[in-house]
Amino acid sequence: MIDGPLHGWLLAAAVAGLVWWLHRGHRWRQPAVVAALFLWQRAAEQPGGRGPTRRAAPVWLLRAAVCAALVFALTGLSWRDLSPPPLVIWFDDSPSMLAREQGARRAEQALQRLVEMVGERPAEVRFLGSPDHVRPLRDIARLGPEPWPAQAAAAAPILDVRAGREHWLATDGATPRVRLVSESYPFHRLVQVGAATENVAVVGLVLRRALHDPRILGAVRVANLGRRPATRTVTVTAGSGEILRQRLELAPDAVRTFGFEMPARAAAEAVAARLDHADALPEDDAMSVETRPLTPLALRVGGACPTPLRQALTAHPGLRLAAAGATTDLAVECAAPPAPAGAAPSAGWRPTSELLEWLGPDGATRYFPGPWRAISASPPVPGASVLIRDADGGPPLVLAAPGWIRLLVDLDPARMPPGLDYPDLVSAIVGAARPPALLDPLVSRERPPDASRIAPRALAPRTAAGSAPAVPHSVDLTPVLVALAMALVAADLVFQGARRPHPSGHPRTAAGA
Amino acid sequence: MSARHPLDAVGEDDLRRLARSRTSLLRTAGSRTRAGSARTTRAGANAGWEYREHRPYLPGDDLRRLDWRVSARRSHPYVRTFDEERTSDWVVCLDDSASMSRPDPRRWHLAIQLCLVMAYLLLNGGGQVGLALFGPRPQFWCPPGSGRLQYLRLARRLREIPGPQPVGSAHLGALVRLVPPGRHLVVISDFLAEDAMIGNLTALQRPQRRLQLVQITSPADAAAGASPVLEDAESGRRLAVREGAADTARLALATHHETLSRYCLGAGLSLGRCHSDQPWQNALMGMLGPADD
Repeated sequence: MIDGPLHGWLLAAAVAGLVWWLHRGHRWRQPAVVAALFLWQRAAEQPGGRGPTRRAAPVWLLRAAVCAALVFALTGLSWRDLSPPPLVIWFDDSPSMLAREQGARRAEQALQRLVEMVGERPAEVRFLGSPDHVRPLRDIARLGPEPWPAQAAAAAPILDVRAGREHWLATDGATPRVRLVSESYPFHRLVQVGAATENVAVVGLVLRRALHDPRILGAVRVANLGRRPATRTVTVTAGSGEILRQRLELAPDAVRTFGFEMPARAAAEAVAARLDHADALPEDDAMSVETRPLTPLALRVGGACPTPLRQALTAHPGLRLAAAGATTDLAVECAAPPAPAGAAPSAGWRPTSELLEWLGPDGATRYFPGPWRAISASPPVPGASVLIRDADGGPPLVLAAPGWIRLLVDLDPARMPPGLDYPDLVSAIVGAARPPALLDPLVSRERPPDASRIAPRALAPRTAAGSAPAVPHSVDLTPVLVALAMALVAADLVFQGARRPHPSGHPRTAAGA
Repeated sequence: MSARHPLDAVGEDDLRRLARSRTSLLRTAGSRTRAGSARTTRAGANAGWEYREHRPYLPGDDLRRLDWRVSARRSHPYVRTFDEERTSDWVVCLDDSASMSRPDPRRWHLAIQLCLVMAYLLLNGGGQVGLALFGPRPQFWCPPGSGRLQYLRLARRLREIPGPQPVGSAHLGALVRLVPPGRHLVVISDFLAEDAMIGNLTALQRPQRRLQLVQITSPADAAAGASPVLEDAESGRRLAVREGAADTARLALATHHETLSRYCLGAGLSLGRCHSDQPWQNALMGMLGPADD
């Protein structure tokens, strides 16, 4: 659709009328001379009819078009595409959108409203937690809100809210993240759902070993994130055994922490805390942690290892000697390393740094600090051997292999006699091979308090909901109009050249008209 | 730098060649007229001439033909007129009304070219040739004469014509009084009058004149461009016409030409028609027909 300011249209109409009027008078002042007027008598205008002064030369249309084109070019005429722009729905995937209200989750309610509002119009859905992934609204509505994980990120994402599209935001406005998003980007429409405000959640669960006896100490943290006082009962279980049951009365925004302990042998695979009297968001009423990191590593020590080293390994609180034939987590072999162990590094090996690093079995980067120099096909990766030599260029010290770390210790008693350094060496080696909490392992899980706030809040978006139309795609027609005007002027010149009086006294046109 | 005069295109060499192939111009012209009309009336008496009547003296008459006794008796100069057995005296009558040059000036150019050429051919045949203009102010522009000297005089006089009169229509009827009886006429005009000048042509024939008509048409006669208002070249009168008026004008022009042709056929007049966009050679050939040789 051609779009332009109203005064441009009015001015163009006025100019066209002026051009017509000028040509009308011009034609009357310049009649055509004929040799014999009586030949034309039968073609005379009827009395009372529209006189010749009411007609203008046809060229007035050409010149009026030139003037109108220039007027439109000056007033900024543009072509606007009225077809609806692509619709992008930014969907809040915060945990609060999983809250159940009136038998349905907020996400389901939002999808239902979106489907009704969008109708047959194509729309794509982008989640705030993964804004680069695009899925059609129809697919999301068909699958329901379950397939996507709730994102509890606190940072506001960077959204590609580009012009030429219509952007909607579907949210409950419960989290600060979405409030920041709504204030940062110009959404054309805001679809807000949710009404429930009350929610009590388990926001933390932590376990650790006792230092001096075989017990496991724990703590559970419960928070009331609603606006009214709440009463709950928290239960901590390990496997099928109940460790703790406590009734709580929580004021709004109150956080309570309860400690508990249990024998190490009572620890199952996981310890769970649960709140009864489930509320709108049952997902945050329970929390569990695995107890496996609390168990000492099963260690096998090679027979060639010196006694001081064996004693140091055995005494390490994070290690336990595995029975013969049992599965081990760590093996220490004291022997000459395989080739090229014991000899100068082969070609291609080079010193890397004082700080040895490699990838552990979980993919995390591990460091081996110490006064040793690593010689490897840098960087060391699982599957490659790492030869560690001391700073003086002595014999190989450790050879690490993929999978669980296999420590091959080649100690030269002459250079490193048994002594108090052994426990430090063992601790350093094992600590580098396993997470640093080996001596005091701690397993914990926490939930950001904001992730459990479900109370909707009115948003103040940059664009008022439902009031801002999408910016249509438009093309500036000024260059086209200027080119058109120039072409019409050229046509007029050619036309006038053809009408220029010829020596014969009549226009050059074949018919003389 | 002066503009080239249309008569510059008429060279004497061309005229000589044309005269050699057109020695029987007068006979050719006469053959197109009514039988017996070749006889002309001339004021004066000479060998081979037969007395016809007395008539009042008119400018251009030979003073030697004055009949003094009759003049004294009637108190007005009278001349004797004779019937001539062969063609001899001609007056080339040129229409110098405004329509001869507006809107198509080529019509005037061709008219004066044909005027000179016709005079040359007639003079070459041994006759006397004069020149008269019958525009808004009819006048005898050049008295009759013969020979090469008369040709040069006619050529000079034709160049002295300033051009067609800006206003006013042709008065062909004035030639009845202006041209002495017995002189044949070559009338060069567009004949664009409502009656195609038929009334005046009839009057001109009465004193047993022979008339040779040359009508010069123009493509502009029925074309007026895109303007809805037309102005008559001669009277200045304006007329508002409707769309498609050119078709009506073309039809009226065809009817006009047909009327003149029918009249000439019935009256035994020779009518040659040429177009203003033709060179004078083509125009003359078209009027005179194929060459003798």
